Amino acid sequence: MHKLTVTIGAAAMALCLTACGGGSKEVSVDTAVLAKELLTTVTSDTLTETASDLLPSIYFFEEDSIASGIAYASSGATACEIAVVQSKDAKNAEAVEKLFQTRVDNQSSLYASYNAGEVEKLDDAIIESAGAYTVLCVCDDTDQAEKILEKYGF
Amino acid sequence: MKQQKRRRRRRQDTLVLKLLILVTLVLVVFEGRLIVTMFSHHSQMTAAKLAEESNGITAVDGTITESESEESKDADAAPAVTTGDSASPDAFLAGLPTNLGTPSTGSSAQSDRLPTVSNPDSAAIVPKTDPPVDDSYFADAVFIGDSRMEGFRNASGITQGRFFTSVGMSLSSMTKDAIIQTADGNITVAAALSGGVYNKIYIMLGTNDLGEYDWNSFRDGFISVTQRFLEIQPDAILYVCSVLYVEESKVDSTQYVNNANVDKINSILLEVCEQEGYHYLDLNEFLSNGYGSLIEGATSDGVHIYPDYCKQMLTYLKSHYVPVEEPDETEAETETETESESEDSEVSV
Repeated sequence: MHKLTVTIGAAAMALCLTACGGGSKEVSVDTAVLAKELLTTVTSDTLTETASDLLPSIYFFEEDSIASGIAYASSGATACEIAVVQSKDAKNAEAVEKLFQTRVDNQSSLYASYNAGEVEKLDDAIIESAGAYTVLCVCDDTDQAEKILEKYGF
Repeated sequence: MKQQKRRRRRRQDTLVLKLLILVTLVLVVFEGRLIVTMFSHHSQMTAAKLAEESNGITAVDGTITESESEESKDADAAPAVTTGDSASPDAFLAGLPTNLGTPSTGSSAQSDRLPTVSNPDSAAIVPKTDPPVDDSYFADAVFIGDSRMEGFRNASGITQGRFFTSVGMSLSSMTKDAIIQTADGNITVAAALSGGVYNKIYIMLGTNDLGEYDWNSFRDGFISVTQRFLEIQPDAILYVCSVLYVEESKVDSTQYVNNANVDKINSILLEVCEQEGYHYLDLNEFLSNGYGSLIEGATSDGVHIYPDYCKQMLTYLKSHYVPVEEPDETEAETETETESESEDSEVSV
């Protein structure tokens, strides 16, 4: 009986650790494909792929810590944007998440006096990580975006 | 019998003829727009006249009044002068002639186009320069501007340069508000500008100031803030981008955001450039439909241009720049020698 309790307890612990370790799970994602799929959740604007050389100055991440990144940005009419970043080390994903959150906060304060309707989209911004990958998605259809991310292991 | 047959044939012939006339009439009436579009590709003049006939959507004299703008709410469905197909990079080239390098008053082919600047002969307007530069020219450049400049950053494909942009940037907010994003929150434009060394400053400002009717105040404020920028970056060349035209039929409220105001604010910006020795980039040279308005179909909301036009803007900037003359080595040597000689002579005295 005691052995059974210990076994169940160990199994439960293992399950908990697996569930809590979402940021370090083994995930392999084609960032370009994921970004393009997320692009379908934006209907109010024409987003364009921004030159990757400019991404560090837009999102302020350290270039040395990033393996690859792709971003689709707005024409200037809306707050919609999609960014998918692969860090060199999964431990850096949390730092990228923070930078994305800062980006969203900054955008919210600017859009509040420019186009208040866009602030709702920023409030619903999706910032998620899986392994070394981090996603920022400000879009029109967040439910669909969540489904897409789930499919990719987020 | 023969006579009856002939009569029948004549009746049939008449019927066929009537049917043909009817079909022709239907084609003329209902396919008129198609014909207009076809002709617009062949002749700008013909297109202008036909466009004028068809509901008077584009005022040929270029002065688009608010009432005219309201009447043209359904301009999308009407025979625009251009095709408006933004998906194609050359879409806007198909409708009207554009000439990226020639001043608006140049060749006879452009003589029917309205000038996009108040003083086409101004020395402050940056002419086309050969050869075009590549992206490395922008490595030491900073781009300051509103959402339209931000759209340019996002969609033009530019790979170099620093962008201090903000949606809703106006003269007032550019002067004093914390609107430039950093990793630690927003800061002012001046603070952001102080963080590096830049040899070129591009400013695109004015769309959010179109409701500013105290134009003298705008002029003074613009001079003040640009002088401040040049204090921070004393070696920089300052380029002032024209305010881009808008598609009035798509703008929510044309009370302020209209092309008459765009022309007005651009005339002020050009005057400031002449007065202060800045360089004016007449972007409407390639974005104008020829009649004092933005090319039809260039935006979704009347203000923010589609990626294809952002790419064209980058091409324009690469071919419109102020060449910096490299100091001639022999001249430099001569100057050094002269200086040393004069120093010697001063010592000897």
